Amino acid sequence: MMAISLDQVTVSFDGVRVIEAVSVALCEARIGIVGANGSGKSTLARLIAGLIAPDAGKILVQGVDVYRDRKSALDTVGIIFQNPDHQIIFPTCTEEVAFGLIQQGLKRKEADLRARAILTEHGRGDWADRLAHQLSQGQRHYLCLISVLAMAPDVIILDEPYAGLDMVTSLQLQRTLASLDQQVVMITHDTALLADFDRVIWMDSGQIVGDGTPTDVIPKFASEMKARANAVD
Amino acid sequence: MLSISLPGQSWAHGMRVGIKMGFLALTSIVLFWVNAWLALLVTLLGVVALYTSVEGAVRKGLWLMKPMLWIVGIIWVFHAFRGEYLAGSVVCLRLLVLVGLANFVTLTSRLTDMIDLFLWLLSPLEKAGLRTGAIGLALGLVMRFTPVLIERVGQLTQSWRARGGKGASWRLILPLFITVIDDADRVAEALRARGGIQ
Repeated sequence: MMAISLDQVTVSFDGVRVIEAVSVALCEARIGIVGANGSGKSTLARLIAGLIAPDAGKILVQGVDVYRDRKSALDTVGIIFQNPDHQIIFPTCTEEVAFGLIQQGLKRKEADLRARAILTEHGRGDWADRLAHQLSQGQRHYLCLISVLAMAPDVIILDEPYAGLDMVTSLQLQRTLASLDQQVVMITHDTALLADFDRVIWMDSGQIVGDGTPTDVIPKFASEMKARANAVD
Repeated sequence: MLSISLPGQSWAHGMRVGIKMGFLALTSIVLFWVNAWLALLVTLLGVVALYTSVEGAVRKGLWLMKPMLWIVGIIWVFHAFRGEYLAGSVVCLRLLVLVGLANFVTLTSRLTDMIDLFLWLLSPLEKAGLRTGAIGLALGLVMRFTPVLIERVGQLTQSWRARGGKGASWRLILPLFITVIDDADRVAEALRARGGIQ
């Protein structure tokens, strides 16, 4: 089955086209999305996560209409945002991890036990009763990842996951992401992180302007960005 | 940083929220009939004993009580001014006991359990067609985002000062409002991502 498929997808906000008739099929295990600010990459991530509806076109993830069928979407796709404070909903770590599990249909007691077990699996058993806002920025980021992994979706989308992380946390996160069985779609400004990826998509003005292996796309992307920076001077 | 929660595994944490809340409600009603200052003082000592039985609760409890002490102080001074020392003491003791107990219940209960209890109490309204699930979620979000909001005020004040502003200004209210609306948008998105709003 095609993992992620977009067919003639268009999105506008307040009359401005943000995504312009994009059609693409994404089946590779590791996919990076690059592009300047305002190129539409975050909108693309939100479309694939089923958080916003396209104005036209169709998006399927593992055959699921992720915007309309939210129940199936929960098992299909998970998204991690840039700022953990926008994502952590509950005061304690266990409640935070358990929330998604309850939404997936587990009873509260089971969800709690499962959440504790998952925290322990990730070597963070001592977080179970801790307050989320007392964790460091990097730890909170990690908590977001654990909360999404707990729901075991087939696809994980990350929107600038490394922004604001220190080097140790960043390296740990890289290692964790590399070991995942899931399909990973990652938006980033740091092209060095995409070196081992299977495929890189370059977005510009709401369209895909580059698509291929990292060695193929990244140099072109980098020289275009340099040219733009020089043009400003 | 602010939070009205004290995670732990004590006896008070293990007790069911419904029982704690029921006890709290009952005590509140009974205390309104008690006008003997000595009885109230003994009850207050009982509350203090409750706090000492849970690790870390005394420090957190005192910290939560700080704004309350001001109010109690003002009420007592007001009564004293009118010569009603005894009546003032009774009112103040009663307030301290009730707020102390309520804080104790909140500190030792998990937010999700309290929301569940609240939803159970609201369940008759659900039959009348009200979406109580959304109310419960809103309650949880208020508790979770209070510390975030306070931090946001701090950040704005700092940016204000960094560029020469003095003290905290009423002019920060509008920017605060805007950042909060923006935050709310993103949180709604995160909730949807994990199935919170159908």
